[in-house]
Formats: sequence, C-alpha cells, structure tokens
Amino acid sequence: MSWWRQKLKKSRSDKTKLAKSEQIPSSHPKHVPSLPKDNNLEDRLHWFEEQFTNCSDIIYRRFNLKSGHACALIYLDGMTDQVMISDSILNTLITLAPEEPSKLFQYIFEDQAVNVSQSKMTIDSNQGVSGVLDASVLLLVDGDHRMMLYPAASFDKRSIEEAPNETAIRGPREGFNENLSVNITLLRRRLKSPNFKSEILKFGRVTQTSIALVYIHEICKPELVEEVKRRLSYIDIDGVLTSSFVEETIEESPFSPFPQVQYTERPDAVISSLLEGRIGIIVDGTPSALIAPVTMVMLMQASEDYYQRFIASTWIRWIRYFFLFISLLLPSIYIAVTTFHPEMIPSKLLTTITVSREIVPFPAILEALIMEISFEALREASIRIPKSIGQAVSIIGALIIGTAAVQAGIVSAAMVIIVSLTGIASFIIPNFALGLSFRLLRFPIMICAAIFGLYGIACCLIIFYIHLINLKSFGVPYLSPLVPLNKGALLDTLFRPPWWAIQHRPPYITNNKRRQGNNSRGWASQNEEKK
Amino acid sequence: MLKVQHFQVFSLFTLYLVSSFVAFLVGLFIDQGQFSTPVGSLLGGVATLLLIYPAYKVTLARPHQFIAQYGHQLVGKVPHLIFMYIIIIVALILATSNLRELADFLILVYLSGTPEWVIVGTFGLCIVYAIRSGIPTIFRAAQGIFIISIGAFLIFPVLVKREVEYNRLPAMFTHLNLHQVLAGAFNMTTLFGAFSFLFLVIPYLQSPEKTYRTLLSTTLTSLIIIMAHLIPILLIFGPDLASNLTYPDLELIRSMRAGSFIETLDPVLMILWLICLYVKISFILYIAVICLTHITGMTDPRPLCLPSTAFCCILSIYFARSQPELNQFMIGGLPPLLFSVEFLIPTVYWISHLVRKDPSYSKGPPN
Repeated sequence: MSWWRQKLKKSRSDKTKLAKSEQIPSSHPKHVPSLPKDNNLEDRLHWFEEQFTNCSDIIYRRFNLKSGHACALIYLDGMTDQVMISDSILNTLITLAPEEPSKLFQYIFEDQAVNVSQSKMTIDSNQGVSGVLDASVLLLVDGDHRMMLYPAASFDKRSIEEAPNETAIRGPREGFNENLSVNITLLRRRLKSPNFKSEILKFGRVTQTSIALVYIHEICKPELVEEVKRRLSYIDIDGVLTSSFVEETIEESPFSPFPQVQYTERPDAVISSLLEGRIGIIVDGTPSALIAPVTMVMLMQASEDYYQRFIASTWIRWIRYFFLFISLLLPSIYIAVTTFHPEMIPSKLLTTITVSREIVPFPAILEALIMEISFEALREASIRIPKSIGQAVSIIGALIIGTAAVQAGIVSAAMVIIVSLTGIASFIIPNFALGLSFRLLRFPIMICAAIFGLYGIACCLIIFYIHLINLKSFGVPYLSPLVPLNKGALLDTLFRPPWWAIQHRPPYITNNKRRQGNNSRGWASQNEEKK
Repeated sequence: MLKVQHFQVFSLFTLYLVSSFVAFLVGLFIDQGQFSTPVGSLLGGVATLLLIYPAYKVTLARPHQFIAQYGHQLVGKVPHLIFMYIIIIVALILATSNLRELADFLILVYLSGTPEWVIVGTFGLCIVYAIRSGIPTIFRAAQGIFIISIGAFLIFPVLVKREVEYNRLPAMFTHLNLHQVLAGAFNMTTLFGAFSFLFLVIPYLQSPEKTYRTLLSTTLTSLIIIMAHLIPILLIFGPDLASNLTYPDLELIRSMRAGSFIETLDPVLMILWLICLYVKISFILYIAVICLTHITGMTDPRPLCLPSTAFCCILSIYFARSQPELNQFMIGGLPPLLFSVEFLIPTVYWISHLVRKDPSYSKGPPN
C-alpha cells in the first residue's frame, strides 16, 4: 500500500476517533436526560420546557378535561394545522365524557378517542421530543405517564412545477420539489405496485433529515439495496442539507471528476431507472433525486429520447456523442494542428487561419485559454446575474466583447468560433455534472496539446480512458456496456431502439432481465395472417 | 478476481500483432522475405498455432494457478527460476525495444527536437497507470478501442487502391523462394508467439479451455489485416524500396489524399499506432511484473509497476545508438530470444508435465 494511502487511512481513523470522543451538542433525542418517571403533569411539562428552552416556536396549551384531569398539548407553531388542533384534537378532548370515568385513560390512550389518522401512543420521552419536532401534537395527561402523538404537519411548500433544468418537449412536465412526501407521491402515483418500496432513513445529528430509498423489489438486486444502506450508515454529520452531501459520501471514487451517481429533477426519469433495477435516493429538502448505479452511457441519455420517435432519437444521440468529443477536444485539436501539424490542414484553409492569426500577439494556447476562461466566467456570471439584466449582460459579453476582441487583434476569429462551438457543445450533454467534468478536463488536454501536439492529446486521452475503465458506480463498470462488452445491452447505447424491441433490462444492473413479452406488436403479425 | 473475456483477448492480440507488424516490422520483414513475405507470413501465423500448443496444454492443467507459482514442481526450483528470469528479461527487452521504436518514430516524424526522455517519460506515465490498474484493465482498454482501430487499419489500404501497381501481383507467386519463405515464416512465428505470454496469466481468463479457439480467430483476423497492408506496400513500393523505408506504412498513408478537408491523415495514423502500442507495451510489461511478483513471493504486483516501467524507459533511451542498430537487433537478435521464450521454455515445462504425470494435478481451484 502506498504511503499516501496509509496516511489517508490513518487520518480517517484519527478523525473517526476524534468524532467519537467529542460529544457534539445537538438536539438529537439520544442526548436528552430521561423524563421523570412520575405521572405528574407539571413535572413532565417542566421537563419538556427544559428541553425546548429558548424555542420560541413551541406552544404549550394547557386545558382540563370534563372529568377535571389537567392536560397539555405541545406542538410547533407554524408547522402544524391550527384548525385541526382546535377542531379535531382540543374539541374532542374537552368534550370527552366516557360512560365509565375509570376507563378515561384507556379511552384516550388505547381506544384512541381522538380520531386523527396515524396517531400513536408512546412512553418514550425521546420519541415525544422527536414527534414534536416532526410537527406532531403531543398530548400529556395528568395521572398517566403515557403520551399521545397526533400528526398535524401543515406548512407552506412549493407546488409541483416543471423541472427547470430538464425540460422536455414531449412527456410529463412535473418536477420534484423540496417536500419528501410529495416526491414519493409523485413516484407512487405512477408505480401502483406493492413492489415499489420507499424506506425512510434519518441522517444528520441536528437536522434529522429524512432520506428515502426507493426501489422496486424483485427488479432491484437486494445486494444493491444493502450496499446503499451500508454506505449511508456511515454518514455521521450534524446536518444533511442537500443530496450532494449524500452523493459525495457514497460514491466509490471521490477524487474522480466524473459523477458516479445520477441526479434528476424528473420523477419519470427516476421511475424509468427503477424499472431498470436501479435505486433512487431522495433527500428531504432537495428538489431532485439521486440514482445509482450509473454508467456514462446512461448519463448521455435524456428522458426526451424515449418520448420522441426512435429514429429521430437515435440521430439525436449520435449528435450528442459527436458533440461530446467536440466539447472535450476541439480547442486542443485546433491548438495541436495549428502549432504542430499544419500539414493536416488544406492549404487554403491554412492560409485563412494564418491570416486571421497574423495580428494576434499570443500563441494559440494562450489565446485559447483567454477565450475559454472568459467563456467560463460569462457562463458562471449568467447563473448569478438577476434574470432582468442577464440577457443584456450575455449580449454584451458574448457579442460586443467577442467582436471587439477580434477587431482589436487580441484573439482570432477562428478561435472565437472554436470556443463558441465548444461552449454550445458542452450544453448538449444531458447531464450537467458530466458536462462540467468535460469542461474541466478540456484544460489539461489543451495544455498537453500545446506542449506535445496530437501526441499530448493521445497521452491525455489514454489516461482518462484508463481512469474511466477503472471507475465503477456501485460495482458497475462506468463504461458498461461498451467496456467490458455486454452484447445484451448494446442495443440501447448508440441507438434508441423502439419500445417494443427493448425486451430486456440492462443485465449488468439487475438479475430480473425480462422486461416485456415476446411480441408487443403481435397484432401486426395477426393482421398479416388475415391478409 | 476480475476475469478477461475472450473478445478482450481477441481484441488485445489483434491490436498487438497488427500494430507491431504494420508500424515497425513490415520493412524489416520485407527485407528478409522480399516477394515471399506474404506466403511466409501466412505460414508463420499457422505454424504459431501448433507451436504454442505446449504452453496451452501445460497451463491448462492448472487453470486456476499461475505457472510462475507452481512451475518449480514441474522442472525443479533452479531451472524454473532461470526460465522465469529469462522470460522477465525478454519481456522487459521487448517492451523496451517497442518503446524505443515509438520514441524514434515520434521524434523523427512529428516532434523533432523534443528530448527523447520527455516522450518516453510521458508515455511511461500512461503505461504505469495501466499496469497498476491490472491486467483486466489492459484487456478492457484493448477491447474499447478495438472497433475504431481495426476500422482505421482496414480503411487505409482501401484509400490507396488507386496507387497500387497490379502488374507486380504475379511476382507474389513467381518469385517465391524457399529460403525467403522460411525466413518470413520464422519472423512471423516469433511475432505471433506472443500468444504464449497469455498463458502466464491463465487464471485471469474466462473459460481458459476455449482460449485456443480465440487464438485461432485472432490469428486469422490479424493475418487478414496484415495482408491488407503488406500486399499494397509490396505492390506500390516494391520489395527494395519498401525494405529501405523506415516506416513503409506511413509512406503508404502519405501517398493518398483523403479529400479537400484534410490534407494528410498521417498524424491520425500516429495516434492509432500510439494507442495500439500502448496496449501492447502495457501487456508485455505487466507480464514481466506479474512473473517477478510471483517468483519473489510478493502478493501485490503494484509496487513493482513503477520501477519496472522506469527501468524500461531509461533503458530505451540507451538501448541502441541509432535506428539501424535497433533494426539489426529487432530482426537479428530478438527473434531467436523470443522463439526460445515463447516456444522452447513452455515445451520443457510440457515435457516435464507429461513425464511426471503428477497425480496432484487437477483442473479444480487450489484448496
């Protein structure tokens, strides 16, 4: 084992020890001192008040039952349904009059006198605190140590809107939002099968973020589900705010520039992946889902491919692969060819390029770097700039500065074309993270091209290629089904086969390979026979 | 252990054989074989399939073990060590000579003035990365580039068909000379004999008993592609000019024009050769590294990857003083060495295996 790996391992184990030794203060119930064992309401209320000290949004509502027993409700202001609390819970409890007064507690706690769905009884103080924080209403009754939790969550949430970064011309427009239950519902609405499973896990010592694992039992490999759970179980942090934290924690090669987990804002994309045998991870508060495992071929496919006619989609796929190479290699090839291999260029074209570069004072690599970095800056600025002025800035940046730079002789017109084409090409890649990786890798290739010409490009490509061969996503080779070759899955790679021809799921992902019957177009052969 | 598929074996060896021959050996082989080179090459290819039989049989007896680990049970400890060191040294020399050929080619044709150590060093880094990743990665790399590379190798001869002088064609049959045929066959046998290196890593193969079939298809495919280059070279340049050209295939590409968009395709050829030779050198170096790992009793070959590659890189710079000296070695000194490593040593192991008939031999995995 190399020294740096040993060092990394040692540093990780040190950090784990440190984390274990430090008692990080948090609101996690496991750190809460236990509730007094007596049945006195005031003592118990005092205990809860201590737990929620300085929490201005906690409401304590004291009241008496008809029988004279003192009670209290504890709930969060702003996250609970006030109408439901007053009408369904308070009103029912205040007017409660059992025929046998001695059975009052049994009536409240065992027969569940208050008719609120999913209500539950508990004697665990930690559960009580967690329940209140999860927007449930906690009922305490004087004279009984038991507690009732009534779910009453109600807070403002964004409505279901179109996925802003994955728009489709044909096909569903719905996108995920920040609410986990809404996101699971979006999936459940289309997957009306008991085999669709959604397991909720909680992570983050302070945030207690809910993470849903969604998969289809009998299609998804059980070992994949276990592996995802195993990797998630190592998460030990104060807060899980977005899915990117989960992504970076569970991927196999964290130092690779390539994404090893796919994210999508579209429920239909998740469903399609689940039907292939993959697993989805949805993090509460994030309007997207993660999908694993993923291959490069999958990242090059868009939902739209499967909604348009297959011939057109196949053509679009080819265009996409072509522009993938353009986005990665075009500036490097330009630098290499103009600097080292001008003999490749026909003489007329060479003359045009030479004339356009004549007044440029910089070598091709510097010219390319200036343009590429400017383009990256423009692109980054366009995300941050308010929409009202964004268009104006884009026009000024792209057109006016570009034209002025060419006229001033700082860059050549050919380079402006190359960089613009490369910029557009990088947006053709459907997965933003993959596009970003290629944008990043373009720079080392450009530098190698400037030093060694095509030889430098070849060396860089060899290194990236070997890296991609070694890369895996949850045990699935990243270049599958091309390398290693998997003939069964080749069809849906460069081509988008018609739906009736996609009879199998990717064999490297699932063991349940059969997707549809032998002949979904059986009627056509029947028609032939009739003729 | 990740297994190597048969298609990957087919891909790697096809690229290995075609790129070696087309890039650097075609001129040297024509020099010895003249118009008899095609017939000699065909004979050599077929003869190789017979000559590698001992290596195939002896390693198939224990398909789940490396012969480097158990070979001492067959021939004794000292002969086994000697044989293994010979294999390692020859593999290192073969990798070194290929690296040197590549560096010379790049410096002579594309990167004149660039220091040799820079070229060798950068290529060495790529090789280290591959061999550290292991033999399945090298085979997968070959399989990934196979279609594109073979497509390019096949399309180039088609593009030069207008330059071919068909009136030289009868000479292929009328100028056959037994001595030249045998020389060509011998050279080709030592090239194709690289198959026997595969048996040193037989535990990595998926269903090793089918390997012979794969090698048969590899031989046929390679011979077809080799002929597709060799015959046009002979017909366009003739044996005298072809044998005096350092890179006849490069000149063949230069003689054509792909159209008005690209003036010449020879830089593309450079990339093609580079990638194929990369796979080849990585494979040979891995063989040296894995044998060294086994005979030294190490469990992980990775610590040896960088030193072995660095050794080859440095040796390649001082390996020969000039291109003619390197050519002399490639056609004079190297083939007998390769012949002994590829065929004679495996035959010794095979004979020992037959003589001993060790009952402990089984096809099952070791306990």
